[in-house]
Amino acid sequence: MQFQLINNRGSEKKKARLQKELNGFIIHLQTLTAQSHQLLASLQASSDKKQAEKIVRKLKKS
Amino acid sequence: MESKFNPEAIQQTPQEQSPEEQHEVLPDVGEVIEQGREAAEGVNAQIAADLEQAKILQEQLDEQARPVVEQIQGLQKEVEEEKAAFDARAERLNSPYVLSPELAKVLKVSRVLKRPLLLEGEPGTGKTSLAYALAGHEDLPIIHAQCKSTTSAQELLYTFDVVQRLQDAQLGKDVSDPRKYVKLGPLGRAFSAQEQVILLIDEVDKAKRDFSNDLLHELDQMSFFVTETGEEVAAKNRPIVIVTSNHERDLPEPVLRRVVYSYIEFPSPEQMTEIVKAHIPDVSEKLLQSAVRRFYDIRQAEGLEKKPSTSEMLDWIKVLREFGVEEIGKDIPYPETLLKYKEDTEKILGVKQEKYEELRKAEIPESVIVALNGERVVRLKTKSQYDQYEPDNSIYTLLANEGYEFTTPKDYGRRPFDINLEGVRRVDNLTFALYDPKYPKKGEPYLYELLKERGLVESEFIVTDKPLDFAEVEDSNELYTKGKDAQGRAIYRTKNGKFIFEQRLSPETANE
Repeated sequence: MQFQLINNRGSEKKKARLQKELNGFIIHLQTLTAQSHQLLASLQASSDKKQAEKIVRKLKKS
Repeated sequence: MESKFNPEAIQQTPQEQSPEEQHEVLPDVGEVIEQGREAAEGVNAQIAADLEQAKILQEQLDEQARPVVEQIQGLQKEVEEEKAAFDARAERLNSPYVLSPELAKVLKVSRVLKRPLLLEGEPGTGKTSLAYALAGHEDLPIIHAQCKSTTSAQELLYTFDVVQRLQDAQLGKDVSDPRKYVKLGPLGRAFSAQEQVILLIDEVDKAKRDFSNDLLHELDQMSFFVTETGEEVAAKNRPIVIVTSNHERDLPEPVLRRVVYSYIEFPSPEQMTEIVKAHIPDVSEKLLQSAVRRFYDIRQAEGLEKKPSTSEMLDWIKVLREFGVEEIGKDIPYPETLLKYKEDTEKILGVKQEKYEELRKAEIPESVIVALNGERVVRLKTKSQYDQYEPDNSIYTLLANEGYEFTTPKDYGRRPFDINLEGVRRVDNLTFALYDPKYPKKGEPYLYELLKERGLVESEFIVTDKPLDFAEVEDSNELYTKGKDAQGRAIYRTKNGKFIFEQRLSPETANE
């Protein structure tokens, strides 16, 4: 019986596919990083806002 | 879209290249995985820094910050999961695949008809691997939909995040565009992809009963509507759909009507040899041949909880090479890579290794030991009395007519004659252990009866408690006595008082 070997070592198409998978993975990681930075930025904004309100309240009192 | 698959164009194994030569031109999957690991580590460090900052801010903001901190922690976990998934995908995409002529034909048919290909077969026969190998072979993206007992057809199309929309509305965000809350499932992503993809719907028999029926319309039309937005998701490029099933449940008839079906048999020893060579090119022929023989001996043992599959065979060979095993003899080294249940280990090692180990060491023939183990052992008719390796031609004819696979002998038994059938196990030369297959195929006559009817069983090993007279004693020790009876037949007596002899079946008796 004659078997055929596909996706064997040295296949250029396989190499290209793996490279694309890696690129896709890196893009996905970048999205996750951006989301994390965005969440931190929103938290920082809330903190800044709270600080500002605190200062305003202090100023009003004085 | 024009089918890209061309089985004729498939490259044959580059036999002339040595493993070292092949290595020079190979893409290194390890390099890709390493780059992925480095990227994931970098991202992890950045998210960890964000989390640290967020926790400092949480001290000022208290409860208000908690959901955000939790979301960042969730992202950190997601990176880990995505990393593991990426590694697994890269490994799968990198694996070579040994394609049988039948399967190559079925693939071509499904491409010509543009119908999903349904692959059925026991676990470990390479159904999922085939989809990934095709993706690598043709440089096509693969979308893997893994079915579970809770998977519904709707999840494969899309989900609509009602909860998020409600939360956003409560926070005063703009929720007027429902498209923001639509998350496409694997089928939705396959349809909306800019290029042709392979869509793998894996283990469909594990999903809910109506799952496959519910997808018929969408797979026929290659489109569906998102109710919440009124938009149609239609395939830009018809995906290549591969559906796998372990046959835990029969699929509905309308589904079967719309697919091209193929049952993948467990690889024959010949195919397994090629599979191992493809994955581990520098394995020695001696180790490979002996390990394949032993592997199929184990698989043919009756009543195993879990038969070892291809991936376990590959692991076993890797371990054997790592620990310098050159050939498999009567023992089974590193059985933990093959046998995953205590009962199976006891069955294979306990009975075969411990109980009869003393007899083996005393070099009593394996056929006698197997007969003592309660199996039916027969010696098949030889082609001539001078050749102990070649079976009678009628045996080939019978096996071929019945559709059984077999291996012809070569090089004076170095590659022995063998029958690749569940319930049949080669013991030595032309001696076979035959027992009732656990699940005989419908209408398939029992091989023993067939061989006996046609006078192709030369002799059968009989175990009895009834004392036999030794006319001549050739060897006697504390384990057994070996000799001949008055008719010149070889007789064995064990220390437990069992007598074993070879009962010749004359042609007259056999044809009765």
